[in-house]
Amino acid sequence: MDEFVQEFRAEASSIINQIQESLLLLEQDSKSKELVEEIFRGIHTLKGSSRMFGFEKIELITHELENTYELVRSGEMVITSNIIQLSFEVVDMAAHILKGDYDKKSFQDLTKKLGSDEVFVQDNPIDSGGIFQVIYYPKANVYERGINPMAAIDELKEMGDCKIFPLKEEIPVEEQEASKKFESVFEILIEINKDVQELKDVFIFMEDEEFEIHKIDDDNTDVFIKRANKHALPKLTKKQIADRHEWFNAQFKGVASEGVIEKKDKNKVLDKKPNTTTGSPLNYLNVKLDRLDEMMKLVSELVTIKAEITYRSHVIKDAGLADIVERLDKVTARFRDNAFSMRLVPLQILSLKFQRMVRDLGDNMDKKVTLLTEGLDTEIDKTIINEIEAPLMHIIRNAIDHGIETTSERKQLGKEEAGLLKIVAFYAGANVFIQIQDDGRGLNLQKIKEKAINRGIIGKNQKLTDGEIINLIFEPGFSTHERATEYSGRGVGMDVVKQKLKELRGSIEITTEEGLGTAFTLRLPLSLSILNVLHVKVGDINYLLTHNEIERCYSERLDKEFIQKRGYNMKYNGELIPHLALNKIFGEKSKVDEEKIIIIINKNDQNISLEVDEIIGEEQLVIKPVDEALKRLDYLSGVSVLGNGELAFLLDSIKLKESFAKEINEEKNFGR
Amino acid sequence: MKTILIAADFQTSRKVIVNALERNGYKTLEAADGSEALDYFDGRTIDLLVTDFNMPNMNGAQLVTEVRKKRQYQYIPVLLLSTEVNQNKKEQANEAKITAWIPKPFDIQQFIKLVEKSLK
Repeated sequence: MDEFVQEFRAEASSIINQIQESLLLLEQDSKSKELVEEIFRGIHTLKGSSRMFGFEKIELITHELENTYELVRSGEMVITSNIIQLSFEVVDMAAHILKGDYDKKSFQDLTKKLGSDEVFVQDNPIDSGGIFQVIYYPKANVYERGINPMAAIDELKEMGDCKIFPLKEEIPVEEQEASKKFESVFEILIEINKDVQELKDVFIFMEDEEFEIHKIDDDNTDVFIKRANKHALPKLTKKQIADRHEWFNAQFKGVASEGVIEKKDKNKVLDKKPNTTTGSPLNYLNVKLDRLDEMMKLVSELVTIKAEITYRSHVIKDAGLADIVERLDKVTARFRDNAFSMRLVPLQILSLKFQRMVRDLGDNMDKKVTLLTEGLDTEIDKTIINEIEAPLMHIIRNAIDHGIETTSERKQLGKEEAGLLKIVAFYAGANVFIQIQDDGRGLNLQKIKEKAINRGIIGKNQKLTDGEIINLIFEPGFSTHERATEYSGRGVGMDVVKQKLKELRGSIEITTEEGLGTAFTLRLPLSLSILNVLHVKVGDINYLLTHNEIERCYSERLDKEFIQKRGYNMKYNGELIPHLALNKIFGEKSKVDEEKIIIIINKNDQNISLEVDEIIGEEQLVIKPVDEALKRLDYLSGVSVLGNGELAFLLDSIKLKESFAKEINEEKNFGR
Repeated sequence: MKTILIAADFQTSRKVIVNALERNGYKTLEAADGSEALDYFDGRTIDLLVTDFNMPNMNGAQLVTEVRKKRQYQYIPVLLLSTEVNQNKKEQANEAKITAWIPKPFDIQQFIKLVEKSLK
């Protein structure tokens, strides 16, 4: 049964994602019947299957939501921002319930909300409002149905800017009330910013033949005046017509400066809609990640064995064999690349999370943000995507929080009301670049400098270039977070972002211009997981050194006096460079030979010499991040599982040197 | 505080309506059929009549017609609950002069809104 529950979870997650995507679209196009239908089907399926697998809580909340969408389908309700918001809350809660980390109180609050009036309050309808002409002519016997016909007029007065014109020579209403015979005909011109349904609701007790509602925004005034004249007794005088013109023009001007531009904006937003990804329906397969890991391990082993064969064939010097080995070499390389590419997924998979964040933040902060994406079909290793998700979200959050101004600010500045957030990804050389741009305030260099001085990161009078000032935001301690929010937990500052990128052997750069905006550019190496390494041994432990950092390997006899030393300075190419005897540093039992194997590392223009016990050979291995437990050993920058199951640790030689700097300095006195 | 008379023969749904109305601050009177309901219209204040169509002894339309014959209650607002709306029923109801139909099943929140509106 467990197995089925697992499958249910996966399927349910998938449905929840689909519902979310549809909801995001529905927000832009609230009248779409197809989207409502899609969402309804999703909720319905979710409800049914969650019952089957015992997730009663999910069944409960989706049941209510399903009812709501049922009413929308039948036309009894329209989609409002309330419903959309509630829908998001329901699917979010369902996702948490699936994961097993839902908050009991939030769940109770949500069920309470679902059971209350809130869902049905048709306020904030999207796509709403306009100028309407209502002609109202209740039948004479309206009183006999227990209705007060003037109640409707009173209600209209409260709904919006309106003007009431009696169309018939009036018997005073009080007299009509007294005689219980209604004779008036009214024309009401009204501008509302709610949905027309609310207008219709006012006349809910009226029969169809007792009132008319016409939208007149786009009319030229003659049309609706003609309509009024039809019911008017006596016909409208010139003054009366002029009055109507006057009211209409006054309203229309007001509406136009908002309404028309709003329309334009809406279209613009839709034009700018994301997805410049070459979106052919992608055929994807869901594969368990640990199966891929297993495959990578086997590929590593295969590559290792291939290396042994290659070596052997050089020794044997058989032409035929050499030929075969060369072909094997080529195939293995392609196999390795192919296996590696299986772990690649397009950045697109984070798209939904981006959209949700932009939407939710924009809502909460009262800012309008348009999200544009480009190149999200760029593929990156799954592990990397998992690791950069948090940094990306953090940057986006900052861009919206600090970068993009409020709508009123932007209006004042002459910028478009909606801020622009652009996420672009592309390959360049051996790297993947991800850029997050905003057209907001830009970074205020002065403020950054002041903040850094306050936090003691720089001195008061320190002179810094603009570039250096910008980079101050990456200093640990620059930003403190007093509270963990849903999007930025404690300890996610720009310093953590930079650190994470460094771990992934990438980098981050910022360009900014005050008043115009900011761009964060993340660089990630393509072949992150698989590295060319030199496999060495110190005692029984396997270590790896980054191949392109190695300058030279050789063996030499050490003078007796240095055999016991863990680190000292060594002469190399006319300079003194630090030498680390790894076997002694790591306390391994090593062979006390007199000939030692020295490896010269050149990194960042620094030379370091390492002493190891054995060189195994050149390999291409999948490097994984080091486990939490080992993180304090910062000179271990990665770990790999060898073909034979043993672990091999990737060494960061600079960090090694830094860790043992004291030793080396003490030894300096010996010189050499 | 307004008083509402609910006439419905099915106890459970009558209770649901009564509860909803009381929760919204209305005083309620209950009757299980038409003639029991009519007995209530004895001079006391009743601000709204909510009645089922199908009831033993006297159906909803007949009840309303009788009620309107009484001077005091001539113009009382009436909400009529009904499952199907066939032509015959409609005619009867229209003759009886009801304020609004409420087709069953109905949404309780919408119902309360209608009640509020009819009392204005």
